[in-house]
Amino acid sequence: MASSSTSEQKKKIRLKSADNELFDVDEDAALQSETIKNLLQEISGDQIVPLPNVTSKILAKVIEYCSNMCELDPIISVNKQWESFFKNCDQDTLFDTILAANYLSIKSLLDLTCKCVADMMKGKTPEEIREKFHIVNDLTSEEEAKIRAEISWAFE
Amino acid sequence: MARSSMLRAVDSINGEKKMKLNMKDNNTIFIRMTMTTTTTMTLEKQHQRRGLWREETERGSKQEEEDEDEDDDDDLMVSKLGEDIVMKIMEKLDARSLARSLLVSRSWFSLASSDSLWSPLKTAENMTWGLECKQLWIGKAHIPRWSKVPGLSKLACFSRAVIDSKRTRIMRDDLWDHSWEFHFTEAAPDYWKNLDPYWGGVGPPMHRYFHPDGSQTADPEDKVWGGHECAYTIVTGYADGKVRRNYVRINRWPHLNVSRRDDWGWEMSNVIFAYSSVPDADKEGGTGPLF
Repeated sequence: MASSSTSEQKKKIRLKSADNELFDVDEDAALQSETIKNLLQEISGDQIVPLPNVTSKILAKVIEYCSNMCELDPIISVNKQWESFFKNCDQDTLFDTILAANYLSIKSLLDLTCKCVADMMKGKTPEEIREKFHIVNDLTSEEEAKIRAEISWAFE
Repeated sequence: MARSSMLRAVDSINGEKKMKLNMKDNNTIFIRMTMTTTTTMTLEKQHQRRGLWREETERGSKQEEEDEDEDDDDDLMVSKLGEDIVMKIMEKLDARSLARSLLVSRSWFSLASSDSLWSPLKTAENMTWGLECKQLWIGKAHIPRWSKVPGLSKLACFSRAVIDSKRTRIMRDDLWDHSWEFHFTEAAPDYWKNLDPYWGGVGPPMHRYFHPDGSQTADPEDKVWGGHECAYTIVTGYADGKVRRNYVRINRWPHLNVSRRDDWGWEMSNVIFAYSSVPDADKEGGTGPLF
């Protein structure tokens, strides 16, 4: 978004978030989203693209990510930065971004955020996973014993 | 062919008796089933019970519907992200972490036990996805026959294969199932080493084949092979209910000690020569790597 003033020639797309905030986005950044690409084919010319499933807070982040991906900086280092951002942000932001990436169909962002959640689970015990993601254990102790017996190798 | 190997696999799960008979027929000293096979049988029984257990789970969740308020809060992650996305996350886990996630809750169990997560890679397209779990199957040099019994969940297959990969007691099936690369060791006489492509000789590596009738053969162009009859036996000795020793013996030559590789393949060696099992994905009904 910072580069918006320097690149006047670039075509802008206007997006509207769920809370009615407007975002002017470079076309190549917006087209990272398959969903926006499809919506643009349906609506004519300079109309606003409504995104009723994404809040302005999350949409700002998603746009920042897409713009980053369009820049010519080494993608790998950009990806690393985003990975560390998602690993350190609060869970709601991470989950909302996953939902937004899924809805907007931005594959690289969806992969990245899902990988962040998977990394949070790796090497953890079931108890630790429950605690981290606020999940209530509804397995009976008998069921738990059965599963444990089948996957004893995972605890060696 | 495929059918007979299937029958044998079923036999080896179901019957100690049958197994014993086979072993005796083939001139092997056989005392009693190993721990590994006992574990297998337990797993099999558990799996048969699983159908029943699923019913129980369903009934359980019906009862829970009465406490509606609590039910909603049970699993924020699945209810917020939806099953498809949680599956996407699970695809990115290694096998151990995925297995542990089975114990998180009922909804996690039903997702994490999906066949799609535990199936081996089938297409190159999936490969680019970087599915760590599926990759665990790739490059495995030995998949136990009984894990290929139809009707088992892929998770059960995987569990069985992992457990089996630690088995060092070799069975006759394991010998037949693969062709074996053969070479002399450093300590062997130069005469033999000079004929061996592994050392000074030319040509492809030498192979040896074990047959169900107890004989062993080599490729026709093999320079080391003397053309005389070769017979092998598997010797297993027990003490205090544990396997005390397990080795393969060919003719009257020194015992071959058996070990496993990290890729689940087999190694057999003595001072003079060494065997290693060759992955046989190309073979119909081959047992490793799978598919």
